[in-house]
Amino acid sequence: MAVLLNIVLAQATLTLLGAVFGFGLGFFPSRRKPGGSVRAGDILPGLDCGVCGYPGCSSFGEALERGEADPGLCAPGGKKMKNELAKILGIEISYTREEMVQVHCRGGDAETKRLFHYSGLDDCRALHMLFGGSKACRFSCLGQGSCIKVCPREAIVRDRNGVFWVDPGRCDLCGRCLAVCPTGVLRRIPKTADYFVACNSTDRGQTTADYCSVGCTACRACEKRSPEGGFEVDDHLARINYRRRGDRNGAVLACDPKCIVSNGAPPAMGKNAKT
Amino acid sequence: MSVRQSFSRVGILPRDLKDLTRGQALWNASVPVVSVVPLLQHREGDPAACLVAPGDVVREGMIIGRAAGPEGAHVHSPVPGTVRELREVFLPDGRRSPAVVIELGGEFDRLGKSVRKYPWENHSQKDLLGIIADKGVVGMESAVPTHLKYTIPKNRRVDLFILNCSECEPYLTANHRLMLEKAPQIVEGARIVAKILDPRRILIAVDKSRKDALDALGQAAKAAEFGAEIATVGSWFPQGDEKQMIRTLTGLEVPSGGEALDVGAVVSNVGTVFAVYEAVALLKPVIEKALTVAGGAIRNPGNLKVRIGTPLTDLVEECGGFVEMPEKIVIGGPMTGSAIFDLSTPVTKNTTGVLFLTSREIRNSRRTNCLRCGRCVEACPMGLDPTNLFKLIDHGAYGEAFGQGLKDCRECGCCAYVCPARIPLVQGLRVGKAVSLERGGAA
Repeated sequence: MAVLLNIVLAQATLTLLGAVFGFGLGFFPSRRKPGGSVRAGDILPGLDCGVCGYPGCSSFGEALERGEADPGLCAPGGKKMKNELAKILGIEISYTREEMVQVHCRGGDAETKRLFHYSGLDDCRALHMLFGGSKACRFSCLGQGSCIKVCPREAIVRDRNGVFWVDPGRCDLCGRCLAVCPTGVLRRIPKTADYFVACNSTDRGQTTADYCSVGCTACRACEKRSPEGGFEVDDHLARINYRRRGDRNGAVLACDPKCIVSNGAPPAMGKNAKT
Repeated sequence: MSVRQSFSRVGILPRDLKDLTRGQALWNASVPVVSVVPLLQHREGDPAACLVAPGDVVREGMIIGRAAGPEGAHVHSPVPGTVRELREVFLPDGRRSPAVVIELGGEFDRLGKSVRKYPWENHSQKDLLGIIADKGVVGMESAVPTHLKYTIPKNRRVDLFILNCSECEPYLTANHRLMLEKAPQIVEGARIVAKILDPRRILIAVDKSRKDALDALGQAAKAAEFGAEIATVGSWFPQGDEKQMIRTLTGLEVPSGGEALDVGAVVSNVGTVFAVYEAVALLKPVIEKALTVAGGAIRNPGNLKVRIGTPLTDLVEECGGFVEMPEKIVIGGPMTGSAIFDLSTPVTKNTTGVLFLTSREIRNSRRTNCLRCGRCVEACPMGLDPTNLFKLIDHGAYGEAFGQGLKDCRECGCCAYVCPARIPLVQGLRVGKAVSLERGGAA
């Protein structure tokens, strides 16, 4: 009987304590009152990525309120968030980033020639230290996904063929992927870009063609077919001068290795890709 | 003769697998018809500046690459012949290097000729260092130019010179054969080094399982009236590492981030000392290299004297071809060597062996998650915590990893060898080291 009494007593005490704390919490208002004043720290992305140079979003928010930090420093927060921040803080935003990073290579497993089979650490720099990578082309995307690991916005995606693509809607040019990519295949383009040349090889055209079926062979067809499109072949690689806003569709159709691709859409799987 | 016991507090005891080639006397491999001589055969810095052009006729032992910087080493033509082309090759360690392709032809200047010994005893230390630099001698395992290693700053003094005869990697026996067959020459090489360094003590450290080599070196030292002590060391791995060798023999610990000279010691490999002998006493540049060809996939494993620049295909032919297709080809020892993919890779000055391994020998298996078993911590001869360092590097905390001793990692491979989850620990630490050095050692 005494045991049962103990159990009941304990239950009663805990219920009572729970009730007291519950009411207490309910009674006192929370820090974030809906409809009340919103603080800068509350609308930051909350990723604590550290790109702004502060330890986390809350300390960056405090710095913003003290007027010490520039809202433009927050890379993951998009334009919308920055406009909202400007409204709260009552300032003009001086600094916006209109560029993004894109992977200038579409040479997946199905398209490129391989030198050796690699089964080591899944880190691009580790692979790059071994003969400059397992693909014959030394300018290519090594495909180990170091950039995916460091991206705070999950903007980089990889398909089953090992081809990488950056989502323009998500990339905010925080630059972390640029710092870990050993081949320089990640380059900056304007966010508004319609097309980009998905090749990074400055090998001679014949060499590039030997290594990869989707590499730029510097045939200059793009220059001829879209003279207003801003195509410039330099050092055996076509590049787009985005200040020229002419038609680029002719060049896209004329490109034999099909390496002028759309910036806004994820890569279509190569026709020989493993499924 | 003093006998010392080493302590196997750390490191590992791999199967030594040396019986394949232990009894095989060194034989001269046939001279390659086409040799590919890389111009980057030293550890750091730029490749040597090329002194020849396609079509040039070169003679055996003629200089074809001049050291481009202070940390470089000269490169000499291993064979007489004609330069066919200059091209880029992959080096076994993963770098790319320009190389001179030489087609054999003409008369040998050294092969088969009797050589008079050069009276080096009358030369000053500076002259001897100059000869070593001229002949392009580099460490036969480390590839550090030997003349730089033996140049002692004015405010330092060498207390101890250790002739490292350990060869602790499995499979490799070329240095063992060198000790048996060329003991007097090795002792003379040690005398040359002793003259350059002027150490207070000289120790010849031999693996205790090699009584025959011990006796051969002991007799040779006695015959030359060379005042070196002979010590035995254990046959664990990595006993042959410079810092482990110093600790085993003297009890001194090289300070973190420091070098052997900080405790007044210089350690040289037996192969390097033999190269010093050839350079100084015979005035012969480094154009040949004793190495072991072994592994389950090769028909006749053995110890060969090979010309620098010999492509591996020639070695395979020399050793009777393959019994079965090798699963992995490793240049160097199985612990610290690197896998290669191309049989046209040439032999370089620091190639200690070529292993053609079958799938049974490498036991490929999948990587799983860390079990927190702590075996890597137990095995690390430097007293580091490899699993923790690996995690820090994986999360990008290079500065912290560097502070926790990443800079002292010798990349010996013990941690990855014992890891039951098959995590590529050494590769991770190597990348971490490279990245943190790039960023200036901090942050």
